[in-house]
Formats: sequence, C-alpha cells, structure tokens
Amino acid sequence: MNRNTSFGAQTASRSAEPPSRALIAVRGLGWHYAPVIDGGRPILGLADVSFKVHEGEFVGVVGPTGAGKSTLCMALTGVIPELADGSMDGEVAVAGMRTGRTSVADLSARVGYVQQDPESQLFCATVEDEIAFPLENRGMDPAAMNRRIDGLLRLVGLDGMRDRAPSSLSGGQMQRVAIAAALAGDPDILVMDEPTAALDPDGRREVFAALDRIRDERARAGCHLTVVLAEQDTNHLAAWADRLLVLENGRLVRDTDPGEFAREPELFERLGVALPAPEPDIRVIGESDGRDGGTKPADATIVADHLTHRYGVGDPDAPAALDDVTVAIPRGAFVGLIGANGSGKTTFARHLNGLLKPTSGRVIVDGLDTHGQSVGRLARHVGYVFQNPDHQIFCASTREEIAFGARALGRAPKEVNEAVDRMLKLFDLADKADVSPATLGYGDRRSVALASVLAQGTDVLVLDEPTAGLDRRRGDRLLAAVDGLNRAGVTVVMISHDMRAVAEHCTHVMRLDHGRLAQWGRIDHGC
Amino acid sequence: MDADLYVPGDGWLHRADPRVKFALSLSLLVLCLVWRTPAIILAALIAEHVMLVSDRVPWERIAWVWKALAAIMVLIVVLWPIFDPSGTHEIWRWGWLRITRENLVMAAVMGLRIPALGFACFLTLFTTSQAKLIRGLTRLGMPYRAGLTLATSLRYIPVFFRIFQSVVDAQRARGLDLEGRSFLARARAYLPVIVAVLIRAYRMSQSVGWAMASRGLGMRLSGGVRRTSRVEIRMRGADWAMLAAIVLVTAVLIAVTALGMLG
Repeated sequence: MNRNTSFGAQTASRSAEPPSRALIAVRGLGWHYAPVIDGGRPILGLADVSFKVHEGEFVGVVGPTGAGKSTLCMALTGVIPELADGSMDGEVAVAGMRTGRTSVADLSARVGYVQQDPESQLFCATVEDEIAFPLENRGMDPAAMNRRIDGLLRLVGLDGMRDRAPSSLSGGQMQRVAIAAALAGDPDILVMDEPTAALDPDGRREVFAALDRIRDERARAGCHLTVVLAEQDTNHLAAWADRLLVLENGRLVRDTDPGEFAREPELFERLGVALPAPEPDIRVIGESDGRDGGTKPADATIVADHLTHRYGVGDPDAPAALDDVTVAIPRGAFVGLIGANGSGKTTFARHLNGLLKPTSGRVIVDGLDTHGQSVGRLARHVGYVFQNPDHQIFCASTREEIAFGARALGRAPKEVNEAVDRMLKLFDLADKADVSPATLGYGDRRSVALASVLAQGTDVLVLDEPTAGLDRRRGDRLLAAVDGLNRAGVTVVMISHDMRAVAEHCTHVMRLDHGRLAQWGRIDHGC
Repeated sequence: MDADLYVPGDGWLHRADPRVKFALSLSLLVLCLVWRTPAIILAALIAEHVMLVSDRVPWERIAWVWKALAAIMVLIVVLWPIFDPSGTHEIWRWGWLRITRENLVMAAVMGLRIPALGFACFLTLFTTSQAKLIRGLTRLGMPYRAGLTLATSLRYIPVFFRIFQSVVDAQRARGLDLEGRSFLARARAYLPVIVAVLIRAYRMSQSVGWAMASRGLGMRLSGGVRRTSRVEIRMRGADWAMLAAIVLVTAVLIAVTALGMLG
C-alpha cells in the first residue's frame, strides 16, 4: 500500500510542493501570554520574530531559560494561538497552512511535536496504543497498523516494547516513544522542545542517535525530515544542526549557523548558554569501592553502613535498589552523586533524611541513626531539594514558601524573617515575594525550591539534580549559593548528570551502578 | 499505588467484552445501592472477590482497594449510629446517643457497602485495558472524545496519587511533623498539598490536550475516511451467555425484592 493513500487525502498533496519553497515561514511573530492572575499584566513570550526554514534543514533553537524557546515551538505546531491563552501578532505558515486558521490537529498531518515532559505527553496505557493513536486519528486501516507500529519502534530502538506501560520506561525510552508517536503520521517537520532536558547522558545519547537514524532513513527515501529542536545541550546541536536561532527575552537575536559558537562565544556567555565542550574528565584520588574500611574518617557527617534497600515489602526476591553500600562522607564535603538512571542515586539520597529506611544495614546522619527518627525530626539536620520543583511548592506566596521549613522547625520569627529576606535577595526573588510561587517561570520555581530548603539552615544539604532544565547562568548561580554554604561548613550531597558541575563544584565523587557503590573518592582538581 | 489501575492479564474477565463488564459492574452497583440486607451485601462482596481471584488479579491489588477505602469505611461505621438512633433493641444509651442492635447492623451494612460498590467498579477497571475501555464506551454510543477523556482521567489517577505523595514528602522533609497531631491539624496540612496537586494537574492536563491535538485528535479527514480503531471488540458466545446470566440474576433479585416489598 502506498504510504500516502493509507491515510486521509490531506497528505496526498505533499509531493506537489516545490522543494525550494520555505516549509516554515514566520513573519513578525509576537505572543503575549494571558496574565496568570486577574488584573495582572500579559507576559511577553515572543516579539517580532521572523525567519524561514527550508525542507530538510536541522534548525537548533538556543537561549537562556525563559527566552521563548518553548513558545516558539508551540507557535510552529499551532498550539499557539489555538490552544494556549494569549494574544498573537504576525503570522506563521507551516507547509503552506496558516496557524490559527488551520487547527492543530490538521497541522499535525505535516508537523510532529515532542514536548519536554515525557509524563504529560504519553497519555495511553501501553506503548502500542500511544503510537496507534495518531494512526487511528488519520483513519489508517487497523490491519496495517501493527506493521507500522513495529517499524516505528524499530526506528527509535524500542523493538519488543509494544506492550510496556509508558510509566514503566526510563526517561530516554519515554521520549523515544513520544518521538515515534510524533513520527507516526509521517510528518515533514518535527518540532522538539528540549526533549532531553530531563534525561541522563545515556538517555540523551539514545534520543539523538534515534533522531540521526530517522533522518538518515528519510533522506534515503528521498523525503527529508525537517527538524526544529530547542535544546540546552549545545554539544549535539554543534554536531548536527545546519542552522541556529538564538533567542533572548522573546526576540530573535541571531539567525546563524553553529559556527557562531566559535565565532562569537561571548554572545553565548552573556546569554548564559553553555558553549559546546567535551565532558570533563573527573579523576579521583584515594579511590575505593567503600569495602576496604579505609574511608571512615572520625569526623564523618554521613555514614552508610552496609546499606541495602529493596522496594516491595516482604518480597525477599525483589532486586536490591541499593546493595550493601558502605561509605563515610566527611564533614564539609561536597559530594557529586552520579550514575545512570535507575542506579540508586535517589534511593540513596532519600535515606539521608529518612524518607526511606534501610531494609538492612544502617544510615547515620549528623550522629543520628535514621532508623529511629521521623522525617520531620531529621529535617533539623538535613535539607532536601527534590528533583521536580513542582512537587515541593505548596504555599500561597514565595515568602511563605521560603519560610515554611524554618517555621515548621520552630525557629524564632525574627530568625525566620531574616533567613527569608536573605534568600529573596540571594536568588533575586524580592519582587516576587508576594506572588504565588506556582505561577512563576521554571527557573524561578527551581530557585524558590532551593531557597526554601536553604532557609532551614541545616548542616547537611541533599540536592536531587538541582540544575536540570536550567541554562548555564542560572545553574551556576544556584550552585554558587550552595558553594557559599559548603565553605561555611555545610556538607552537600548533589545528585547530578552534569559532569561539568560535578568537576567544578564537588570535592568528592560517589558513583552508583545497579545499586552498588562503584566509585568513591576525592576529586583531583589538579592543584 | 504507582501503577496503572489496569492489571495486565488474560483471565476470563480480561477476555470478556467490556460492554458485558459494564453491565456486570452496573448491575452490582444498582443492586448494592438498592439492598440493605447484610447477607446480600456480603454475598455481593464474596462474589466480587471470587470473580477477581478466579481472573488471577493479584491479592495485593485487592488489598490495595481495601486499604484505600478503609478510612471512609471506619468513618461511616462510627458515624452511622450517631445520625441514626433508630431500632428497638437498645444496647447502650448516653443522652441522645443510642446504640441499638438495628443501627449497629445498619452501620456494618453501610460500611461494607463501600467496598462492595468499590469492587463493582474495580471488576471492570482492573481487567479492562484503556483501549478496550474506550472502545467499549464508544460502541455503546458515547462520543469518542468523551470516552477518551474518561479513560485518560482514570489513567492519570495513579500519577496524581504519586504527585500527592511527593508533595507530602516535601512537607515532611521541610520539618512538618504530623505524628501525634490532631485530625484537624492533619487536614489543614493537606489543604496546600491538594492545591499544589491541582495546579500540577491543570498544567499536565493542558500538556496532554496539546499532545492529543498535535497527534491529530479531531483531524479533518476527507474522501470518506473515518477515524479507525486498532482494538476491535466483538461479542462472543461466552459474552452473550455472561450477559444473559447477569440480566437474569439481576431481574430475579429485583423481582424478589419487589414482591417482598409488596408482600
């Protein structure tokens, strides 16, 4: 069966389009988000953006957090102006169709869209249903669907995963399912909004490798796939993009090629966008796997002693999420806790404030065995910043949010107010003190989450990927605040996939592999 | 619970046509709402458990339902005698509060009715995949979008449970110690958690809506092409037999009740 005739008639006109014509034409595009609260001011998303994209191009979109990258992606798929609240200027034409006049669903015949958060774009119960959904919407013959689903899964490297629930997959696998679903309708254009922001380096590599394979296959078939990819990870863009759009405060400040990274590095430094750079080589001195007993300094703040944890109570056959981990973390250390997704990093971190208790072995933090301590009591000693800021913001104003922990711990009101003011200043949140933190932008929500824990004034700080999804400048600012506390004697354990951050900020590195301690020691900073 | 409501499997309930399971759930719901006889509520509960176990739904899932409903059951059993002081066989009296054999039995019936109603729904929800659920609903005449919305909401219930748990963890991690605190203090602490989960739910549902539209939901199709469905359902002989049994048992029970009332 011919590919085009298996769907509705909409896609049949594709081959008639002259290849030289711009596939995407954006003219004077502006967008203001409707105010979040009644009586508020509209929020600028984009202003006067114009550019064209030709068939087969790979266009990278870069810019700091909040520069308008997601907004631009939404405008190219028609989500803006049809489904989002706000007002639009200018026009966007995609494959000859004007957004706003053509529905998102109709535009989807030519444009695939992959969002940042895997959890909120995979809405079916199985992988095969997820990919069947766009095919069903196009009226594809059910008899032909199975082959198509298998083909798409092979393309993104997920053969044999048809029956899996998306929620049981790793982040990298989920994003590849989202890509397969976006490609199911055979679009000419794939728009991706930071698809790898939530992924570990392996997941990131998997996604880019899949993308590479897809473009290759399409090029061989003679119908090139055009890609627009918003991304913080400039390493991959430098290698693969043909063009680069640089956004700042909603404006297009450069329409150039990836050579710009080398020609004008100061531009990216000013914007806070990471320049492409090889991963730093982290050398560890005094390395041990924690079993030799030689890493037990007398002044250890955190001691894990043969710590084993299994999820699933009463099931002795459940695989160990942590398997006999023994480590002693000295007071004042800044530990980079690294390892692939699923290696046990978060499980280990959650033992430090008692959210999880050992199945066997024990954990001693600040002299306290966590076994007999409630989470609330351990909060006097351990501050914990969760991975997703939205899961830890629950107060009505930023000020209350930052004060919550310090107040719950019974600190004096004067002390609480001083800590809150210090944090508002440190994180540049003073003008947002009375706003609901849930309505702030992603970068600010991360800052509030960190500030609210720092205000607790604990001796130990646990951070679960504090810089994920942030641009370089914001990430560095958050870590500088943590550095300051670390210099003042606070022991820090930071889960991170960002090897540069680990190399620059950490004193020690602890690597987990399948729940076992694979590496532990002091980082050699070469001085 | 962090998994989907649906339990993958191929037992007899899993294989049954979703429309028959809707009829089964509906008839159990109606009958449990109509009846107030302890023996019959118990019989319904036992029948529900037999069906789930013989379909090989794991015991942990069944226990999860009991655990999830435990609080509301206790609340009903405790509150019932307060609001219903009726009955002739008085056991204990303290001012206006009367405990009688009748209102105690009624409290137990009302308490057991909650899991009986719950399991009536879970018979379908544990054994019907999202795709079959949607197909079943649309084949009964529900518009596709409504069926999709319903099934998707069910799919996200465990996700919201998980988010709720994360926010509660975040509160505890910031020093909120509710151990030994009053019910009111706990309820007050949960309020901001619910708000946080609602905000997250709103953001997520918006994103899901965009994902659905950008995968072609509601796409205009031309040339006589219509939306298709990968999963097709078909009433087999066993399904017809099961449906007949459900209708028959329900009709007999209703008839007996009606006659009993007349008599």
